[in-house]
Amino acid sequence: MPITVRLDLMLARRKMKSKDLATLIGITEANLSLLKSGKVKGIRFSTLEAICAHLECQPGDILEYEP
Amino acid sequence: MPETPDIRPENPRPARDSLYRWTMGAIWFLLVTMPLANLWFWIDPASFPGPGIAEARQYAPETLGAPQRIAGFLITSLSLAAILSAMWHIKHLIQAFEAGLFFAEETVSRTNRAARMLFLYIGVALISQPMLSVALTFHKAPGTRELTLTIGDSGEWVGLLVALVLLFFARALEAARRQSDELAEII
Repeated sequence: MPITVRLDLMLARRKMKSKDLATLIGITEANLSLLKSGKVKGIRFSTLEAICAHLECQPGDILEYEP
Repeated sequence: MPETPDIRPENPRPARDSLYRWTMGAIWFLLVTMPLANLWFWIDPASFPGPGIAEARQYAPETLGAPQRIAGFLITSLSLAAILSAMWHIKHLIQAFEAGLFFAEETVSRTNRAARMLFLYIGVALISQPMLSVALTFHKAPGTRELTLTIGDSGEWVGLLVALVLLFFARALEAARRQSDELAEII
């Protein structure tokens, strides 16, 4: 898929653990792991909003389009 | 103004559980009694309460010998087996619903199988009347033997409608299952 998830990069920049982010945004660690690896069909706006709010970033910082 | 106390029951499920128990009880009752009733009818039709198998009554089954009765039992058992099988799948479908599996592979497959078994029942029921007429009059002298052809009774046509509805229901469940699977992959 040409959409790449850059969540790992943002987590590293913010020095936050996956487990903490998962707790903060209210999803399981397993689902966050799937999201990080891009093995999901989609992401809800509410999840994206929560991630952006806690990592203080824009959706474009997490998702990247690579044709 | 005083606050109205919350008088809702803590567990709103008892009504559903009661419906589940009654339905399962009715299905188990029919699964057990229908084959026994069929057996009783062919062993001792005179003592059987009610009309029993209407298609067979016209041949006075109490006057028939053992071979005719065995043949009659086997023929009526075919359609009975199909309807019992449909009920068995419906029983599993209800169990899956009760377990919270609404849009699962299990519910789709059970609904499909129940519909197919109902179609089979209708097909077998349509041919069992001619087969029964031949089997129950075969011992008679040539010229008095019978071959009855029918186009089914109202029960069979209603059964056909139920089978079609079940088939559409299975399709709807399948579409819902796909959507549910897809939603589960959206985080």
